Amino acid sequence: MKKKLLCVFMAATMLLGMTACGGGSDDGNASGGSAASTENTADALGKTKITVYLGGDAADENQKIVDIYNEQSETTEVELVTLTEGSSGYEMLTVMYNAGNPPTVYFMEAGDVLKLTDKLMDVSSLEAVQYANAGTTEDVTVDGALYGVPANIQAYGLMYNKQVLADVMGADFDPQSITTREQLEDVFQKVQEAGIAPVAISPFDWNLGNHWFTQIYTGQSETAEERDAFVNGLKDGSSNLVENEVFNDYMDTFDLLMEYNYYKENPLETVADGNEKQAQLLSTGQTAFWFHGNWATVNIRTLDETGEYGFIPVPVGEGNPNAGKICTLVPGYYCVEKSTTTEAQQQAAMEFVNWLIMSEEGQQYVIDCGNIPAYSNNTAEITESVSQSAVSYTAEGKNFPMYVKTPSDHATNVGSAMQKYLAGESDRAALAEEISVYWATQK
Amino acid sequence: MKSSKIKNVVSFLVFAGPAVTVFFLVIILAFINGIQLTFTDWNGLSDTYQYIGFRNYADAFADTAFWTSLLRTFQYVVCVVVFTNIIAFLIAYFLTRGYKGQGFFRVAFFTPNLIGGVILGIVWKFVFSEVFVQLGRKYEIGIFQSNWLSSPDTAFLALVVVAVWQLAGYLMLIYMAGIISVPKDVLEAAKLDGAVGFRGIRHIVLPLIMPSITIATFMSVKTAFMAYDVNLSLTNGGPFQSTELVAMRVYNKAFQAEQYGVGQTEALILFVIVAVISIIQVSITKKREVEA
Repeated sequence: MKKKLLCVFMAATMLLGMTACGGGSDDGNASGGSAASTENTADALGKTKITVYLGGDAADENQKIVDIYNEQSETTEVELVTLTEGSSGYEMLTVMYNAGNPPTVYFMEAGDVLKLTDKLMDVSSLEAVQYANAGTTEDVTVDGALYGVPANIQAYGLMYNKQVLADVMGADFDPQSITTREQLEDVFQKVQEAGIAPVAISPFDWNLGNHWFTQIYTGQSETAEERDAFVNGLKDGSSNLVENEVFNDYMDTFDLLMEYNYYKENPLETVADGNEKQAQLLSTGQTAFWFHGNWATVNIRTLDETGEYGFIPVPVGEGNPNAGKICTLVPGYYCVEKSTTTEAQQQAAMEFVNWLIMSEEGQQYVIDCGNIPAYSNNTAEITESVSQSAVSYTAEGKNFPMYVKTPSDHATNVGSAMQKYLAGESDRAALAEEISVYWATQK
Repeated sequence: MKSSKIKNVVSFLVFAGPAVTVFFLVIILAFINGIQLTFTDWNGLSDTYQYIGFRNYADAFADTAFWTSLLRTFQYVVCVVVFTNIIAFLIAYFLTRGYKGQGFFRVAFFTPNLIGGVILGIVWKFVFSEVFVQLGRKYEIGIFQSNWLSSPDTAFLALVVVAVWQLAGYLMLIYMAGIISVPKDVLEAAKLDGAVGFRGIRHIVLPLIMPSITIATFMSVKTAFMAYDVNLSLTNGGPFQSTELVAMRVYNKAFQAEQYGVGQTEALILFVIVAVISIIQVSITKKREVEA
C-alpha cells in the first residue's frame, strides 16, 4: 500500500512540472535585468555593449550591417539577436523581458510598441526623425512622445510577372490598365487560356487575416477616425459585417482570385510552408499574379535575377476609397529600451539607430533588404523593379496605410476564418459571423 | 536515542537537502506563483497587475476554443498512447529474441528520440509536403497526392505519426528492460505447459512486465498531453487552428492573445485533468502487477 501511494505521489509531482513551466516566469523584472546588464556594459576594450533585434527576413543583411557598424564604431559593440523559429517578435520579447535581458534596440510592430511605452525611450530628439515620411510616425506617437522610428516601408497588392503578361497580352500591354474586377477577370481568362495559372493565393493566416482582411477596415473611410469607429463597432456589435458594402466588395474580388487560384484543387496545399513556393510560381512564370508584397523580393530574386515585376492595386468598386491604391505599411519601428539598460547603453543605442537611418551604409541596407526607404533623405538608388513599382504609387499618393490597430492574435483568428472560406469550408455569412464573434471578445 | 535522531535529520539534509531545495524553488514556488497569477489580470509583460477574483476561471470555462482543443488533445492522446505502446512492445519483443543484427535495430529505433522536437517537426514537414507529395504524384498513390498538412484530418494524422515514430523507440527501451528481466525458467515452464506464441505473450509475458507497462503508459500519456514542439514546427496549429493541441492553445492564450491570467488558468485546469487521469491510470495498472 505504501509503495503504491509513493508511486502515485511521484507521478503527481512529475506532472506538477507542467503547470510550473507555465507560471514560473513572472518576477525576473527590471531588478534582475539591470544587474545582469551592468556586468555586460563594458568589455575589455571599454566599448559599450548593446544588443539589437532588427526583425525582417534578411538575416544575412542584418548581420552585415551590424558588422559594418562594429568595424567603424570606436565606442560601441553591437550584438545581433535573432528570432527563434515560429515565434513572433512580441512573444520573444515577452520571454526576454521576463528573463531580464531584452535587446537594447528592437524592431517592433506599431500595435506592440504602444503596449510597451512605459519601457521605451522617447526618440523624438533623433536627428533622423525630421526626414521620416509623412504618416509614418503617427501610429507610435503618444502625448507628443515618439516611441520608435520607422524602419522602412513595405507595400502590397497584386504582384505581376511582366514577362508573362507581355507573352499573353502582347508586349505593349499596360498592367495598370486593369482597374475593375471585370477587366481583371478578362485578363485572368486569357492567361488561363494560355495554359498558365492566373493567380496564386498564399494561404497563410497573416497574409489572409492581416493583409487581405484589414483592407476591409481601411476601405470603410478616408479618415482614420471613421475607420476606428467601424472597428469599435465590430467590438460592441454595432457594425454589421455581413451586410457591409466594403466587406462584400473585397470578398467579391477574393472570390474571383479563388476561382482562378493556382491551388484551386487544394487551396491550403502550402499552408504549413513559407511563401517561397508562391515566389517560385511567380518567378518561373507558372502564375501571372500573386497577392503579396515587396518583402518577397528576396525570394523572387534567388530564382530570377533580372525579370521585371510590379504591382497593380487590388481591383474594387469605384466608391471604395481604396480603389486604385496599393497598401503600404511600416512593418516595424526601431525602439530603444530604457527599463533595464544603463544610460551609456541608451546613448549608444540612440547613436546606432540614428546611424542606421542617416549613414550611407544604413540607407543602402534598406535597399539591399528589398525594402522601400521611409526617409526622404535616403539617396540610395532603387534598382529593384518591385520597389520602383511601389514607389511609383507612393510618389503620387496612390497608397493607403494598412490598418495596424488590431490585437496581436488578429492574424491567427481572422486568418483561420479566412482559411476556412478559402478551403470552401464556410460561406460568406459564416465568415462574417466568425470574425464578428472574434471581435466581440476583444475589449 | 536522541543523538541518532539528530543524525538522521543531518543525513537527510545532506543527501536530500539540495534536491528538496531545488525542487521547492523551481517547481513548488513557481506552481504557487502560477496559481496566484490565475487571480490577476496580468498581460505577461507589464510591471503591475490587479486581482480580479475568479473572472479568469469564468473566462476559461467560457472559452470554447480551449475545450475544443482539449477534446482534440484527448483524441490525440488516445491515438498516441495506444499506437506507441503496441508498437514499442512488439519491437521490444522481437528485438529481445536474439535475432542477428538486433543491436543495430535497437539503435535505429531509438535514434528518433535523440532528435529535438522542433527539428523533428521541420524534417517531417519536408517529408509530408515535398517527399510524399512528389512520390504520390509520380506513382499515383491516392493518399499522398495532396499535402497531408493541408487538411485538418490528415494534418492531425501527421502529428500522430510523428509522435508515435519519436516516442516508440523510447518506450521500446522500457519494455525491453522488462522483457529481459522475465526469468527464463518461468518462460520454459510455460512453454512446456503449452503457452507458446500469442498465448505466451498474453498470459506470461504481459503480466510479468506490468511494471514496465505502468511506466510506459504513464510516460506516453504525459508526453502526449504536453505535446508542443512538434505541434509548433510541423503544423503550427493549422490549417485554421484545427490541429492546435491544448498546450499550444494555452501558450497562445497567454502570450499571443496577451491574456496571461486566462492562459495560466487554463494551464491549471489542464494540470488537474492530467493529474487525475494519470493517478487513475497508475493505480489501475499498479493493481495488475504480479510477482513472478
